[in-house]
Amino acid sequence: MNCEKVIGQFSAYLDGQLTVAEREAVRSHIADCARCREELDALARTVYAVADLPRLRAPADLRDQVMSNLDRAAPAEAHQPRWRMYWGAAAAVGFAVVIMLLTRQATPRRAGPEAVALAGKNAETGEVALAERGGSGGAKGADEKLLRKAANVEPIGGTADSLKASQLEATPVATVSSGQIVAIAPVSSEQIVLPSANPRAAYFNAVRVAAKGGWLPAELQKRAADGELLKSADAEQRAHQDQVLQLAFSLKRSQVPALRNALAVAGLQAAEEKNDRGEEAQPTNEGVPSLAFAPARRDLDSASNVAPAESHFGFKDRSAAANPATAAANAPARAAMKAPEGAAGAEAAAPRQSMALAQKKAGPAEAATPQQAQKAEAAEEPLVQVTLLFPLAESPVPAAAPAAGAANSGTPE
Amino acid sequence: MSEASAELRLNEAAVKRTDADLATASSAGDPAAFGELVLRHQDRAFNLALRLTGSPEDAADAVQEAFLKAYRGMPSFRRQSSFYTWLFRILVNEVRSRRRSGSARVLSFSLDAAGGRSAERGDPAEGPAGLQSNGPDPSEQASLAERRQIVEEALQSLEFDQRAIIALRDIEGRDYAEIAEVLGCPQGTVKSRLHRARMALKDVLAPKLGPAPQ
Repeated sequence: MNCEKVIGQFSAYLDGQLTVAEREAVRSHIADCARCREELDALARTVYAVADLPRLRAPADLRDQVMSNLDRAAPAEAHQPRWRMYWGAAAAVGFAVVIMLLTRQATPRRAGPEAVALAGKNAETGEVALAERGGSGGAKGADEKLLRKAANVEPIGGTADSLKASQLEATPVATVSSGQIVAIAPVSSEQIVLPSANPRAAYFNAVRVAAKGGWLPAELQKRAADGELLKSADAEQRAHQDQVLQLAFSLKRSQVPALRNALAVAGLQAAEEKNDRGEEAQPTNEGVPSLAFAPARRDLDSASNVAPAESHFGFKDRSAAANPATAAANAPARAAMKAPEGAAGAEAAAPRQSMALAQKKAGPAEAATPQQAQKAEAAEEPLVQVTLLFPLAESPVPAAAPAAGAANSGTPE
Repeated sequence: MSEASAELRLNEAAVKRTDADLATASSAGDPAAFGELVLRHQDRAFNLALRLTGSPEDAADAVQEAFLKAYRGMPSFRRQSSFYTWLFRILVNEVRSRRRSGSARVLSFSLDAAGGRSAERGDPAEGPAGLQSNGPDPSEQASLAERRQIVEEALQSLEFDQRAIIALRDIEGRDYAEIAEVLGCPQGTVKSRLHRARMALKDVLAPKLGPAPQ
């Protein structure tokens, strides 16, 4: 593939919208082409910067405004002109009645025609007055109120919308689990495996991102703010050098891309750092802002080590999960459901095998999950279980030898 | 955690009426049901409108009008699409037509306050820029607000349709299929348009944001 064509794929690449073959083509190209790598870097940075914009709440009285106008909103179209017309007519009639009453008192006989003439005249002025004061003018008054409210809108902040700890559906935990995990994307969950060029840096970033987003539970949030969580990464890393640091929490589905984008940049930087250190970039997953990918094949077997812990994720669509990279990157159930047919090619054979293992382990807890997954789908915006996986070892440890021997030798920084 | 949360979710699902339920109820003349829909979607609608208009005032206006149009058009709401995509389609069209009618404004608001707020307390996630710093760095905090302002402005400098597609994808986090529904175009078009829009934004932003932070 030439550069132009590769660059043309970048946007879809970041969104996980490429097929396995396309994705691999992009990866192998950017592994060799510094210019395209920079281009992708810049694009990812851009996407992240947009996703990082703060979210604001709608003005507090927006709903009231809508509801109060609802009464006047005729079920038919073109409500405002008609509404004005009605008021104009009503004013005219009212005015006519008043005139009739007055004139009847004075000169009953001539009341009729005169009243009608007056009414007609005043119907016009009445409408104009209404239009200025009541009609659009009234709306303007309301608008001003809205404007004031809007100026004081409370920023929600964070990197994704409505990020509040209270919205988290599950209790997030930072745990260390053994082994490398295959990225699995069942319908209601998403796992993001960070590029592990510099796992510690990636972890730091993820913690920062998560803390900023308010995704962490209060206690972790505080520890993160104090930098303690970051420090503890060192200790945990030492204690579990061959393992995966895992940070799990739930997000609304719409919040996932923001996180993913943020982490993409984190991954890129980790990769850059690695390159800066003069290490040779591996033509595999590393050094590439791949946000969710299957780890090297030799790690797949160890997926079963951790499968039980993940079993609550509700494995609904197995074949989609067998193509973890695409499915995980796509997150939405829709994508996961569409994925199965062609996407899982020969390449996915190994992941599928590991999934089979994972399924076996997941078996017992599985019974409850389809229901759960369905309920989650029924909700307007399903929550997504996000698990960030940080392979702490520079090089993944074979499942057969999970001992400390193969551990990474020292911290990268 | 999984069991408790699963139960919670089940209960919520049982109690909560879906958007489709609420839409049916409101088209049958239940304003309260519509009120619930407004409540559910107003923040997202407002944020989208905010990115489209660049002004909280215009955004609030547009959202209000979009909801009213949605209410009036409720009988024509086809249940194949979600209320969300339907509403957002109305909203995007509303903002677009308002711009055409000449009420477009120049971006005039700043989110400095928001940036400042989330940047306080050491801002544990100063984004990737904070990669190596553990402590709060005042210059970094300032640069976060500045950066957001730059991004806001760059976004506003794009064409409306480009802005819309970026907002739907990167701010709203909608997938291609939903974006296609909102914008009323094929998915393939979403893909190519989104790419062009992001590249355009990148071209504006890259020189301003500078090289990758070290």
